[in-house]
Amino acid sequence: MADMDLFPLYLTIKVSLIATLFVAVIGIAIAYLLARRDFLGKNFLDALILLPLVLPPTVTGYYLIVFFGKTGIIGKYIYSFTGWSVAFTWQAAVLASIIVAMPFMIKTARAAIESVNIELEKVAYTLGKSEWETMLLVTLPLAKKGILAGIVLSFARATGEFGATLMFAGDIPGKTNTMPIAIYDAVSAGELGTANLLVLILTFVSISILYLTNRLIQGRW
Amino acid sequence: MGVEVDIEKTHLQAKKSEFSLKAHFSSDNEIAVLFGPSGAGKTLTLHAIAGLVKPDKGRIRVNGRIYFDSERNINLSPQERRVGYVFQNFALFPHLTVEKNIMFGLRSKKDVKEFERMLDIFEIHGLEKRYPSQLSGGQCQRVALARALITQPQILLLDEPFSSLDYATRVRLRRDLKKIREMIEIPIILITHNPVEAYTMADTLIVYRYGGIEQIGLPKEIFNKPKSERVARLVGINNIFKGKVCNVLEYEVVIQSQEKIIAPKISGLEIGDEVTWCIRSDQVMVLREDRPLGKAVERNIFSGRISEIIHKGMSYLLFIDGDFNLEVEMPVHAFERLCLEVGKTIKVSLKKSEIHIVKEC
Repeated sequence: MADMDLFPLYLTIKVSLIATLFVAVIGIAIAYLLARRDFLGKNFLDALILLPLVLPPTVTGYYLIVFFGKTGIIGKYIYSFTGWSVAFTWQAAVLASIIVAMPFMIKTARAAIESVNIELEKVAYTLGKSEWETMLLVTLPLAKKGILAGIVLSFARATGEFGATLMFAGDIPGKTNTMPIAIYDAVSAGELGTANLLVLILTFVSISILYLTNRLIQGRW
Repeated sequence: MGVEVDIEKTHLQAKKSEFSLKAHFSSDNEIAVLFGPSGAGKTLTLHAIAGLVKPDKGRIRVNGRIYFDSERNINLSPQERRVGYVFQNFALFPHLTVEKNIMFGLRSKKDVKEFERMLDIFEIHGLEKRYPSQLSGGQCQRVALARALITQPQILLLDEPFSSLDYATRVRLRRDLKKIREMIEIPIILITHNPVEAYTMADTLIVYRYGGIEQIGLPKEIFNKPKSERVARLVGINNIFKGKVCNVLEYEVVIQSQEKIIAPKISGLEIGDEVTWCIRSDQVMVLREDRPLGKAVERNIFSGRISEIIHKGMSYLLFIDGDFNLEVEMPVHAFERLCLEVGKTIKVSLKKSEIHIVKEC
């Protein structure tokens, strides 16, 4: 046990934190647009964002390869300009986590923003505040609980991400083997001791996160 | 100076029904009251003035400044209009203290003098650190007013300011609003569907019906001489009857309804015209058998049976079945002197000078 490799734990935390940061910023922006604006293709965007929630993660991972792989639709340009491809790097695990966690963020944040009384925004406009100022001073502070809950849920989803990451980032020891992947490897190799420990750590982290989320939602922070 | 509104707006409501509003009125630096049933378009009018809704066409001008002009393609944003808007439920920011709510619209946060002045005017000293959820309805309203006025708006809009207040707070708000009116030279527009509030607050009364304006005038004029049956009902007149002009004299007209009644002459009436006439319930006089009749009540005397009596506190309301089914309001002392009760037959006079003929085609 003592010589157990803690790299997967460290990698999972790093990947999840970075992914959550992106998910939070992009997710809040999209959630605000979905909640407060009408635009062409709104329903389509909504469906597209929710897609990773219903698709098998392997399919999501496959799409990531199709778009961002070395010969992918976007990836080939990145590769020809930089000679670098995101596939099979730890950044690929981040990208996979972002895509898979995004629906949780947007669903939760959108509901929270929609529940903010729109008259409060109108009154802010009449008091001379721009839409941007109103969003920062009124809407987001009032939707704070839901947004925080979304962030925590996204983090939890990112730490448990397996399928899309395996497809897109691979299982490279010391490079892309996150906790869930390491657990899979340990069980495959019959190292049940390692598997048990990793499972316990992951379960503990997840339960703590969900507990905190509940506290947040109930306002007993 | 003042406010001029001339707008049209059609919009789709839920369930795909269309609502269209046509509103045209103007008012000086005084209190204009939009009065009418709910759903008439009063709030939509305020939203249009504030720039929260864009009319399909028309013009809105406040103190000489054009807020909206469809022909010249002008449509100022709500931020540019400098409108003080107090929403029906006050719309205080629940996450901010009273102080921060009031200061919200100030450009420079150092304008402490203005802030102190608002605290003085609205007597909200000591509440600065509280949150809206810790305030009473009246306090919320005064904070909302302070927040709107501290930005020195060009016009003050109040949506149903009285509706959620208890009696004492309403009286106080009336006083506060009159005070504001004396203090600042801007037009104030407020919405109400309560006739008493409309009458007491308005310098100009603007009566709404579904989708438009029915009558504009001084409150006294509208309450005594409603232009239509609809306005008559809105201002609380329930003695409304139909009839046919059967004689036109020098100063009077005779109208055949259930019985003949005599009313003051108005121009343009001819024999045979179908008319609607009405009389306020406090202008129907219950006659005392033992007294000679005064000159004002010697005409239009009818009898009827009291079918119901409602004690309204300051007055009594009687419902009388007879030649005309009448609603009569009388002061408590008069009621008690006459020993009235349900079932009793009494004589009433419809005071001739107070009969109002509604000329509707």
